[in-house]
Amino acid sequence: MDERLGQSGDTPRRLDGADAPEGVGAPPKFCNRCGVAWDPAWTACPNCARNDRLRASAPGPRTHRQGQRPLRTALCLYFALLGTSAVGIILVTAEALDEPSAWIFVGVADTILVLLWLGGTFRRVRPALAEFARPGWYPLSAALACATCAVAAIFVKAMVSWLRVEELVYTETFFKGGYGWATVILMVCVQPAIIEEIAFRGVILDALAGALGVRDAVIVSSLMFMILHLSVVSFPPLLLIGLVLGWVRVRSGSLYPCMVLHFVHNGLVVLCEMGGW
Amino acid sequence: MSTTTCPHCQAANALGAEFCEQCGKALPAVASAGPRVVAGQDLAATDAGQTVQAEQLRKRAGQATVALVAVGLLSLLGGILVYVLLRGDKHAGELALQFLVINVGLAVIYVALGVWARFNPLPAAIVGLVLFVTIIAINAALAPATLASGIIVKVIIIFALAKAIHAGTQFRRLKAQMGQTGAAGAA
Repeated sequence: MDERLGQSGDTPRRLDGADAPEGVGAPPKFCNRCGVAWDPAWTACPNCARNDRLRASAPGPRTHRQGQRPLRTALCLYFALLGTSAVGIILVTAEALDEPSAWIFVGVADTILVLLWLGGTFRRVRPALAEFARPGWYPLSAALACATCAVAAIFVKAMVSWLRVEELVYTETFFKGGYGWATVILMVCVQPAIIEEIAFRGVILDALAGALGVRDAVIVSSLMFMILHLSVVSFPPLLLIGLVLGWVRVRSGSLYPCMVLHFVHNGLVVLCEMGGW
Repeated sequence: MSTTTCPHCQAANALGAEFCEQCGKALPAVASAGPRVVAGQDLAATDAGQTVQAEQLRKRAGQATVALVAVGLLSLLGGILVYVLLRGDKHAGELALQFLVINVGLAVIYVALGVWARFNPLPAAIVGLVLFVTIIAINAALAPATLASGIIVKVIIIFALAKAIHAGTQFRRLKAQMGQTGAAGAA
C-alpha cells in the first residue's frame, strides 16, 4: 500500500498532503512542484524540502514589513562601523593609543555594534545562522580562500613595489605593541571572520536584497566591504573576496562557509607573513 | 474547476501544480487574481499617473550619474594638480605620485559608478554615497581642518546622491506595483 495515497477507500491525497480533487488519482511519476522523478517509496519530495530550507535562509525579506526599511538598516550599520574606524584613526593620530591597541579597540567596538544590530535584525538573519550548508561547501570555501589569498598577495606585492608604499604587516604591528600570537590570531583571523561576515553577508546583504534584489545586493555589499577596509591599494582584491563571499552566502544559504573562507584567507595571510613572503 | 489538464499528455493535475505528475513537463502558470495593491501615499493611483511618475522618478534617479561623474573629475583634477605642483620636490615627489595614483583610482571608480547609474541608478548611488562619505570621514579623522574645506560642494554632492537613492527606491516600488497591477489586469 502506498502510504502517500493513504488507506484503501480513502480520498487520494495530493503530494503536499491536501486531499486531491476528483480525476487526480493515478500514482504520480513526477513531483508536481519541482518536476523531479518520483520514487514510490517517498512520502514527501526531498528536493522540495531542501529547496524550501534554502529559500528560507536566502537573503531577502520574508514579509512585506521586513522589506520596508532595508536600506536604512544596511547604511546605518555601515556608517556605524565607519565611525569606529574613524575614532581609531583619531586615537592613533592624537597618540592616545598605539596602532595595535587602536586596532583592538576598533575590533571590540565593531563586535559590540554588529551584535547589537544582529539582535535587532535576528529574525531576518536567523535562517542563515540556522542553516549549516552541505558538507561540501567547507572544503570548497577553503579552496576558494587559497585562490583569493594568492590573487591578493600578487596584486598587493605588485602595487607596493610600484608605488613604493610601506606594506602593512599584521604580525609585526601586533608584536611591536607587545602582543602575542593569540592576539594576532584572534584579531586578524577569528574576529573578522565571524563579525565581518555577520555584518556584511548577514545583516547588510539581507537588508539590501530586500531593496535591490539578490544580485545587486551581493555587488553593493561587496563594494561596501571593500571600501570599509580603507586601503585603496587593495581595492581590487578586496572586491574579488567580497564577491566570492557573497556568492558562497547566496548559493550555500549559510553564513558558516563564508566564515570558513574568511578565516582561511586571513590565516594564509598571517602564514605568508611568518614565511616572509 | 479544481483540476488542470496537462497540455502535453492530457493528464489531470491538481490546480496549482507546477509540473505534470504523469509526464513531468511544466504546466502553464496561472496568474493569481489577488487583491489589487493599494497605492502608497506617494504613488499615483492610475496607470497614466504611474507612467508619468515613473518617468519623473527615473530622471531624478539619473541625477546620480551627474553627481558621480562630477566627483570623479574633481578627484582626477585634484590628483593631477598636486602631482604637477610637487613632483619636482625631492621629498614630496614620491608622495605626490602615490596621491596621483590613488586619486586616479578613485576617479575611475566614480566614473564607473556614474556609468552604472545610467542603467541601474539605485545601487550605484548607494555605493557612490558610501564611498564619498567614507573618504570625507577618513580625511576628517586624519586632518580635521580639511572637513570645512569645500563644505558646500560636499553637501551638494551628498544631497544629490541621497535624492537619487530616494528617487531610485520610489521608482522600484512603483515598478513593482505597476507589475502587480498589470498581472492582475491580465488574469
